[in-house]
Amino acid sequence: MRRGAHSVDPSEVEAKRVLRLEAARANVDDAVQYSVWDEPALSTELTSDSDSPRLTYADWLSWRIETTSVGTTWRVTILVILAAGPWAILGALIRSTLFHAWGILLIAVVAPVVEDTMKIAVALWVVEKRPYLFRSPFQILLCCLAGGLAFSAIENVMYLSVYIANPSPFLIVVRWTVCVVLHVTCSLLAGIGLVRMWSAGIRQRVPPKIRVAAPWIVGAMITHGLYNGLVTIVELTGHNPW
Amino acid sequence: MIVTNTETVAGYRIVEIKGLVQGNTVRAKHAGRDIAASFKNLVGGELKGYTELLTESRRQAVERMLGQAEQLGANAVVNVRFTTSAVTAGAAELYAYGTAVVLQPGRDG
Repeated sequence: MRRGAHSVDPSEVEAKRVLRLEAARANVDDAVQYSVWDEPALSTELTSDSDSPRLTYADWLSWRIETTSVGTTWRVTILVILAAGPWAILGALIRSTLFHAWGILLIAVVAPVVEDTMKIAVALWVVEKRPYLFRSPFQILLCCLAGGLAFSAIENVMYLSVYIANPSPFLIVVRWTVCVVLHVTCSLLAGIGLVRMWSAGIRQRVPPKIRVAAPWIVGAMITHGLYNGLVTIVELTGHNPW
Repeated sequence: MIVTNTETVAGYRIVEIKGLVQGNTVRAKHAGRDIAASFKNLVGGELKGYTELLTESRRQAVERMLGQAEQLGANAVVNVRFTTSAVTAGAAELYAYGTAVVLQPGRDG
């Protein structure tokens, strides 16, 4: 047996401090994720006599919907619409990096995936994590519409003033019409998916599942990818209409 | 709350089993600590940032497990086990689980 005291791990003190700080910031919205009452392994036969308050996702969501005013949901909608801009910038930057660094195939595959994800990213977070902050499908579609508009506007400005020297009037018209319509259409397609995901979660009082929205989001990506691929093929074959 | 990795607790008897309780977490340090750790790796010694990371993860997983036990009205968690996973690089991933029970002083039988 060793003589003398064993040293205590100093990381225990630091961990205690860090976790205490995190615990102070935690709220019921976080706690519901770790509630035992939604665990699939919960044995109801063993816990039926427990009189402690039962925090379930369904109860939490119902309570949140009841206590969240319509005004709050519109304030959140406006914030999501405003946040769509900065996210769109980030998406456009990632996209432009990809375009310059990688090949043609990725123009039709990776770029649509990145862009159509970024356009709806903020709205998707709200639907998945705080579904009670939307009150109607219209609010979600509005957020997606704003994401598409903000992204296409930023992309057009970058294209027409930075990447392309002396763009032709035809290209300017195409970018501000066809490309805007494309981005908005794809965002709204993905938005339909978010609405279905949100509606199912709210109706059944279960966490919204991304798999409900996935076909629509992927559909938006494919639509976008087909357009990108078609335009690139036209350009590469020498039929450059710009 | 009594927490033990044995199935029984000396001096107590299990009067009620509440069921499986569990807690998990995936944590990472900020990029600065990762960079510092990569330099420390060159000279060797304890990577204190990562020791902290593992300690935080272990404690958080245990706290979440105990939180579930409290929700069930248990006063002990027996047969506690720890396990790790590999979800992402540079992160500490801990999963703690055990059986929530109600213990009373006394002997079995």
